[in-house]
Amino acid sequence: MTATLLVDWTLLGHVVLAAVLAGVGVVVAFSIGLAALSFARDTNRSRFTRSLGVAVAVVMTGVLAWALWWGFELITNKS
Amino acid sequence: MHNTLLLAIVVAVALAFDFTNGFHDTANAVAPTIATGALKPRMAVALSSVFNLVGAFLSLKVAATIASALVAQNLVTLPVIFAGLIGATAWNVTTWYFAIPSSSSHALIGGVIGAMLVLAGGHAVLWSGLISKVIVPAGLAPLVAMIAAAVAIFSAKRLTTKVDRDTSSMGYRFGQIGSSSLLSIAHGTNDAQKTMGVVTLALIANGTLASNSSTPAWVVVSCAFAIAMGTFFGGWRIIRTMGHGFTHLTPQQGFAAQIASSAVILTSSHMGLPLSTTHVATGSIVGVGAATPGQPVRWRLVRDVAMAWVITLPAAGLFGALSYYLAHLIGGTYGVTVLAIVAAAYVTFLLRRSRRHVISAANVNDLWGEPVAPVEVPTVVAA
Repeated sequence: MTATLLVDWTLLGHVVLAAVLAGVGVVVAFSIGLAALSFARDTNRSRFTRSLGVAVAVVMTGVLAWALWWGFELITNKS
Repeated sequence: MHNTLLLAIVVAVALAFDFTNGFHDTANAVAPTIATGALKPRMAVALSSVFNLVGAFLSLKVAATIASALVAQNLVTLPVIFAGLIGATAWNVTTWYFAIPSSSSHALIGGVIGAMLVLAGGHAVLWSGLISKVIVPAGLAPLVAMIAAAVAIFSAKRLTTKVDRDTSSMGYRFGQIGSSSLLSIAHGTNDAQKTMGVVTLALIANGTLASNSSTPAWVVVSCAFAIAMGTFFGGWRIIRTMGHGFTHLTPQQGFAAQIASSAVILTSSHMGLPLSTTHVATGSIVGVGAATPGQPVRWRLVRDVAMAWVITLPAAGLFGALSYYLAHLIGGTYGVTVLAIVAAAYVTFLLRRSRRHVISAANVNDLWGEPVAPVEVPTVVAA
């Protein structure tokens, strides 16, 4: 009861949601990038599939770089 | 009242605690990296140490919470902070000896609150701050980390079913260098701040700083270096427990666990919540193990560690209360000096006992449950 009154559950909910989404998002982006890279290296696949693999890997690298930059901004700007 | 000598002793003990904090928590960032062979043990702790240093400079929100939201600043005295730090350091070294990944943060908060209760009673503790910023996040953090890590590893496995094992291992090992560095930064943004907050409290208690002042730059720099040095020495006992004790980690699982931990810690640092990085890292490791069908998790060890988490706050509080009572009984700077000597003797005793069963970079990756290979111990002169 006391904890229910004292805790800002909305804020805590946002923290939990942001943490889960960020953690899962980065792992998913990295895994897609790795899978795409594996496609790109597979010589048994068509040229189009391999090119697509390279493109997806590049996009995922960009996504990860953006996530890192965004995380850095989040920590430093509001401190 | 100004007491420069006492303040100097308190700051020195605070930095010693910060060192044990880094030493104790090295495992949080590097255990999966070492266990999966992504980096050699020495290289992993060196990298973690550098990034802990960087992280310590990025945010001061947690320091502000520790300094202002847990105890009544106007009632805090230097002996209280000293006793709290002694209690926390004693608890940290004890749990390190038994290879238990317990929370340095809760040890520190418990130690200061225990001493404060003896000095001024319950009204000196800001219970609302303690519940909302420490106890509730402490209960939630490992569960959130466990869920994030479980969802992450589930998704990663589905996405990489067609990737051959060698490419997957190599890719995730490479990724682990980044995730371990990120987790070390996260640790620096949360844990280094706690000692900064306590030193700021000491400066306010001594009258050196006005109430609600921000953390001075020299405090930030010295605490950052102390935690980085502690990290560099590596708490190999706890690294072994976290890397091999709970479950067998693959590079993919190690990566997912470290990223999930980083996300939880960095988000909470942003909100100024001083949660336990140890709880988060442990929750993530258990989460990836539990979410992998057919993979055994040593639930008995998880239960024992969780029990240690529950008793950390009251046990460190008891250490802190006893320390304050003893220092107060002897009185003044003498009391503090005697207590510092007793604490140093206790730490030396545990360090010497730990040499009977050494765990180091050489044998940290030996299989769990099998006897650890003996390590050559160089002869040392007793401190």
